[in-house]
Amino acid sequence: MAAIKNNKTLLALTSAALALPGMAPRTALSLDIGGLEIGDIEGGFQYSHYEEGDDRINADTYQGTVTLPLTGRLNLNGHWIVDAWSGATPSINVPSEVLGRPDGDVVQILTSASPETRVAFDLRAGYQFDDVLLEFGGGSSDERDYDSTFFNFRTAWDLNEKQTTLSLGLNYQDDDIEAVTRPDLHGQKSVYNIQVGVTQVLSKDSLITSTFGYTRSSGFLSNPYKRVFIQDLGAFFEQRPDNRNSWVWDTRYIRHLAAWDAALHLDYRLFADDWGVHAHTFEAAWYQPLGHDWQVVPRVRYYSQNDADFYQPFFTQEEAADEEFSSDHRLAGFGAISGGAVVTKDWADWLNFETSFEYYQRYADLEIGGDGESDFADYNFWLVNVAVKIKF
Amino acid sequence: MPLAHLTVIVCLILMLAACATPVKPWERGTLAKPHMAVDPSPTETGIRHHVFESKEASSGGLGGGGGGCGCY
Amino acid sequence: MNKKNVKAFFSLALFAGTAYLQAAFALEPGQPAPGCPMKTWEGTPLDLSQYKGKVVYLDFWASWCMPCAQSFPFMNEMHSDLGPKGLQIIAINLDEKLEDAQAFLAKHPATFTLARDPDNTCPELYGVQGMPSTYLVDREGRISHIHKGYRVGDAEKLRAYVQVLLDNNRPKR
Repeated sequence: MAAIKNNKTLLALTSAALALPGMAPRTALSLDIGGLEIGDIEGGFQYSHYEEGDDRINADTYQGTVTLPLTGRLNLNGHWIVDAWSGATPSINVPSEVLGRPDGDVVQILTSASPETRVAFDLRAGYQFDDVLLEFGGGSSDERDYDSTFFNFRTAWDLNEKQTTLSLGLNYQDDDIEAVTRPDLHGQKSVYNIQVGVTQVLSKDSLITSTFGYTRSSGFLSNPYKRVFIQDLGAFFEQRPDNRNSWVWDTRYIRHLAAWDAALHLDYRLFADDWGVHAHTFEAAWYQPLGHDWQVVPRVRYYSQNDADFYQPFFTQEEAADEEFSSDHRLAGFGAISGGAVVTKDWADWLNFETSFEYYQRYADLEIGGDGESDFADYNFWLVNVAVKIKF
Repeated sequence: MPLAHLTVIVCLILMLAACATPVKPWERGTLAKPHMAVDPSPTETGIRHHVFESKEASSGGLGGGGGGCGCY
Repeated sequence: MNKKNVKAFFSLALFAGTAYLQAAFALEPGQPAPGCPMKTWEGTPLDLSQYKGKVVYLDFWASWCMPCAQSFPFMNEMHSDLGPKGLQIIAINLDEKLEDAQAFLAKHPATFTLARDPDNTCPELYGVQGMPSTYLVDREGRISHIHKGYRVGDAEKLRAYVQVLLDNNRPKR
């Protein structure tokens, strides 16, 4: 019901905005409550629709944000999200012989997922000293079979007249996992993460930023609904290791191109974990202002990962002997290419309208150094967003 | 990840910082432009990354901040 | 391992070196306010020494500096309240393009004196370390207070400093 209400709010906001012919720039609203000065309050709302091809999963997501600056140094942030999804999802792979078709293929079987809704919120408070930022946050996410609570801390330190920024982030997450079809399952998962980063201004028109992160996850790390097929034995719920160490290194180079007043963002991310997965992500985005406060941002992404050590489309008894097995297509080797664009429009300093779309196609053949073996799991999806931001 | 690899990565980052040309505080007009921010649209980035992390095995990335107008 | 240690040390040293060089110069309160080649908005030369006997509020700003937008209403207020009492505000614009400064002024009009310094000699002479920067100059032409940045809440502090300088009238002969 909350979902429908928010849809109406979005419609009301956009039609009000479109109805006003020439919105005058408004003078900044500054509030003073008992000596506590409040700056520009910002509110935002975003609606997203995710849809996979072949009538698989589709999802609708609604998000709201509020930013409240106080005393010029304290910043409070609130964010909520409602996710609703339904459709079919892969649950097990079987060799085609099992289905009476001896053509040597692997067949991916999908099962219908009953509609699910997730509600989450998070809060953040940050204090900006002259050169140091301290930020604390936390939140919680709830759905029928998965509850998550998380806390984070971040600090950033500006050096060299703010040409260099060093940052440190710490994150902790605690999850409780159940499964509708497995009433005896009560899983628990803990995630610890540390991130260190540096941002460096390289020239008047360029900068580079790089972050290195380490994550340790332990507990129930499997997907409680996914199964594997073990030859001559049948179907079993997947079993992933009960801990995982992963490292990520993400670098972005940003350059201004004066001839077009455009900004080019180039990003490379390297991921590795002790499950045997290595992944490379390349992204490029071109931010192009178009005059009259319009901006268009075409972008493209290429992704490649190799399969986890314990992944197989299906298993022989010897392969499953060490009791670590998964056939989840997310842990297979594959590549993906996606592209899309963002279009934004600013109105009179206080209203911002943004819409974006992205089309993603998974291709097993695009894996760097891969054999294209998991092409039976290839699929595609569309992601469309519409958002509005208001400064009060 | 072996310690040797880590050291090389850290050195590369530091050396990049060393080849930066100094930019005076009043020369930051271009860097202050909204599209020069590290993440010009955090809510949109949020949903995008949420989708990718649900469909792929890797996760995580940038989270540093910095750049911009360098104002106090 | 040894080769990598040496590389790391030199990178760190180079990095630290750039940091030191940039923070080298800064004006101190008590020193005389340097004269510098500013021009009025119309383009005629503007000399700081012509304001001796007044308290000067020298502010470096630019159109892309968000806190500058917040400081303009405050400076307008001070100009109308304290201008008659001997306060002279000079806001030096450091935009590369005049159109950017003019677009900013259309949204945030100024009643106080505006100045331009397209060659950026003034901020160098004053050792500006952050935007915006404010230099309070007393009636004898000496720098009394340097304020970096502008946040909600700075208005009271700056006004108090200005009031103290205004109350320091020239000694009677």
